[in-house]
Amino acid sequence: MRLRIHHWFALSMVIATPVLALELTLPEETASFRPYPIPGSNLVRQHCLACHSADYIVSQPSESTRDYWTHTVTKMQTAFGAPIPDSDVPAMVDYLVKNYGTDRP
Amino acid sequence: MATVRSDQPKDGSRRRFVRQSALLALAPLVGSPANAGGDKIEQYRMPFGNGERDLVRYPQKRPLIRLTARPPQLETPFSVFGEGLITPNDAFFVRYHLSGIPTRIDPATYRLRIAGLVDRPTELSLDELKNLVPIREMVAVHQCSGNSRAFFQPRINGGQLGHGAMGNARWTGIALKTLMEKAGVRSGAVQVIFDGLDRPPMPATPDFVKALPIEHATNGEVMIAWAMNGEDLPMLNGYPLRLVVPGYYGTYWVKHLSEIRVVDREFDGFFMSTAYRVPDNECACAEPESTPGKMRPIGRFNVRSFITSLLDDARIRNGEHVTIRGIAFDGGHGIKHVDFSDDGGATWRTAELGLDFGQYAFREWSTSFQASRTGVHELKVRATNQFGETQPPKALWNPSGYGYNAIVSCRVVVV
Repeated sequence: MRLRIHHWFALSMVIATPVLALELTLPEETASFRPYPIPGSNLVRQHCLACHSADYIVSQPSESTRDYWTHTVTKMQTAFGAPIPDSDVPAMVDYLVKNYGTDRP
Repeated sequence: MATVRSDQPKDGSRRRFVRQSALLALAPLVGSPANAGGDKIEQYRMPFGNGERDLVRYPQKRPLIRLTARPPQLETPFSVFGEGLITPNDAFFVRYHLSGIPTRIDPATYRLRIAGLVDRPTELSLDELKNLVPIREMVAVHQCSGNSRAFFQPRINGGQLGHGAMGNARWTGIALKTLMEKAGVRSGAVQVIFDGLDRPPMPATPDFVKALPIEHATNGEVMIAWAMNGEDLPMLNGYPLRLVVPGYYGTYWVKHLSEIRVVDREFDGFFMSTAYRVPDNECACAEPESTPGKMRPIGRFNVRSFITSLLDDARIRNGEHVTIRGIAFDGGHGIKHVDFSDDGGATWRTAELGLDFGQYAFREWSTSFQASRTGVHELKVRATNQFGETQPPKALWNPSGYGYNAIVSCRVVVV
């Protein structure tokens, strides 16, 4: 028996249906660090944004202490492998606690 | 205190960015960057300090509360839990640790590697996996360890989540036990470790790898899932495969599962030995600000309950009979009873439990409320599980702010 044209069509759809890759484009990140005229401002932007968006920091509660920010920047160096020179840490902590912590004016 | 503004689009206007059938997935999916497609970014206010967030539409998702962008962490607006017992895929929360998340996956070339202390190490394609029997389906709650962390008082640092990092879905796949039997676990096996396709941003950053004891991994409950609520997993929830560990906090539910490795010693990677640990005692808690001695990996959910039919500052007419509904769940022992209070916890009465969709699912409860005075009323709900475990009035402190399960309140205004 010869296959009619519509049989061939149906068969080709079954054989030829590709399973395409799933691909997505993420929306832009919009969180940013508050400009503040001390050296830590640029250091935070440079060192922190290398790995993650600013909102990780910006969303922390305003009760965050100097101890917390020191501990956290140090954790980034020691636990997460962030290439932050030790000499940059005090300035970064100063910026963080003055903008996202208990030293906010 | 700021109220939560819930401005979810109604069912009909929800758009889907992707269809999982090959015929339609011809173009790459574009998650609207800021203002593309006319979507303006809406502001959303969480009910805690520094709680301003953006509602952002990600691919395959309705607008969700964005905690972080890189990597994405998205929280479900609480009103979704009042829409139905099952959390829709496009509303389900998203949480990643590492910014190297996969954004393009070809199901034809995807492989799941089974390796380590097994007789028959192998790599399985998705087709091969889906042909294994028996297929398992389970309705189970998935919840971030840090869900509700922002409600700790005093505040605890970490991801500042409201109650929206949880969801209830029907997972389809196979039991990990089936796969382990196929591979043949060798004697001396201690743990199974799980790795996904997400990668760290820096060479020295630890990869996200989790481990389960061999007994737990092979107990028949742990699943490898390829579908959520009858559809392929959304990309951001782990397409094409994820681990499902019913009753356990979400940290174990590895997304884009790519390797399962049986090992003969306890895995000491960062996300097991340092992160996701709680005080090793009955309450998994400690004195606030203390440094607890012994810690252990986080385990089963603490029992929780919520009012979902009303949001804060809802208005109710004095004298009118109102049915109040909500959900309760625990780590798998099952809900024994749910109690309701309309006077801020001074008195409690038992609520009715709804249909049972399994020990790992949201359990619905309901009760009738008739206000007899005008003004603000503080409604509370408290669940008790079959083990007699119940919710504390104030959250149990632990250094990382995990496992929040304090009794929650809902403020209504009787007019």
